[in-house]
Amino acid sequence: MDHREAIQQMAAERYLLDEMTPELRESFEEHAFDCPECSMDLRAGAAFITAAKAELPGLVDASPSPSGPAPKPAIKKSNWFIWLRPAFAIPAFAALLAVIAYQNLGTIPALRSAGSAPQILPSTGFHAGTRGTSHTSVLADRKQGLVLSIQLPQDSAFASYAFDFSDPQGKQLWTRAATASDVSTNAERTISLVIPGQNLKQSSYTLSIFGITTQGTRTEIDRRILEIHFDE
Amino acid sequence: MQFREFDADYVENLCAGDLATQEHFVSYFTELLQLKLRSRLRSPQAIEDVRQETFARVLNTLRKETGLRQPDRLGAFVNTVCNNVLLEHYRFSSRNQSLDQEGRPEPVATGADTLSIVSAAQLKSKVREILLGMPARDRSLLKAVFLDERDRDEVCREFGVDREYLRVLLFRAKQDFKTEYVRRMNLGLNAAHS
Repeated sequence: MDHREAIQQMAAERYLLDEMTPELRESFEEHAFDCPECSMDLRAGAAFITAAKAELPGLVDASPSPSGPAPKPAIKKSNWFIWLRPAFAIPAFAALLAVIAYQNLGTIPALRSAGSAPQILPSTGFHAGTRGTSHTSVLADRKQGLVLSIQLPQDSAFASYAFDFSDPQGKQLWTRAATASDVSTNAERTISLVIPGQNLKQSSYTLSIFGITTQGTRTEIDRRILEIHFDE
Repeated sequence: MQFREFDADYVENLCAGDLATQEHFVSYFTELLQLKLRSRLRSPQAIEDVRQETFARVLNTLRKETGLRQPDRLGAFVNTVCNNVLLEHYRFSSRNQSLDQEGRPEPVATGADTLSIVSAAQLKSKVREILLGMPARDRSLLKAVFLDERDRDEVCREFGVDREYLRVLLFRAKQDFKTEYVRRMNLGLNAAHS
């Protein structure tokens, strides 16, 4: 196993999780004993696991799981026909008509205009493939969002790429994919990722970029904290 | 002390008994050997025996006139010697002869060893910070895998994740921890020499 293979296969993590065949384990050990980077990955990973085992009992809720399935809420008997009485139906229909009018007179024309009008969006570029977690300050438009111009690694054996976007709490908001042919349309292997402004806040979001081989092996090649700022 | 490059000077200093080089050598390879051996040997005593025998044989070879033809491949040499010692350990239940009897004592790691560094409050605090930064589900996942030592596939099924998710989770945590770990390790080794 060479260093590139060790990185692509996340060999240090597989080793620490005891997921390797004996042959693969010996092959990785032969490399890691000679490689300062992989050796450090192993040692840091093992140290983290050792320390985490001491901390986790105090951080994980130790409450026992329920012995049986959760009781189902009692089914209430309801009379659906009550909603058809004039006292409820007339105001409900009036509200519905108001919504329809708003959509047709305001929202839809605005969307049509936004879809046809040219847009100028703040843009930020970076090279993907840096080890560790990077922080990038990006300027965004509150309504339109921003564009990330991402240059992917040149010598790549990946068949496709995945882009995962997570909120400040770590919850994944969306994921997008690009094939190798999408990326290779230009010599710089640059791809533009548009992040919409809707629900975007001035905070720290995480963009994770994964390379996916033809066998389906997924390897994280970049993880970036995007410090979103708005142009006031 | 930063990572030292394994070269002819390093091997020469090691053979000459330079304390700093010996400490680095023992500290560096002890962790790797323990990781390697714990997946192959059950008994902590057996792990320690193989580790010590490996070090003794490596140093004995380095001190010979022929020495190591490729000093920059010291790591690979240590790994190979360990494999040979392991093979012998499997074949024989106990060893009667040790190279220590030749009068070449093994260097003992003095000063701060990595375990004590890991125990340092700052590293614990960093690990805690990383764990608290994770969703609660991920903490529970790590606990199930590393502390409860449950079957990985069963845990993944229960949490609705795949093995890749677990690997990435560990990768990210390790990357966050590594900077602080390297810094503290270097501080600890420097303090040992001051």
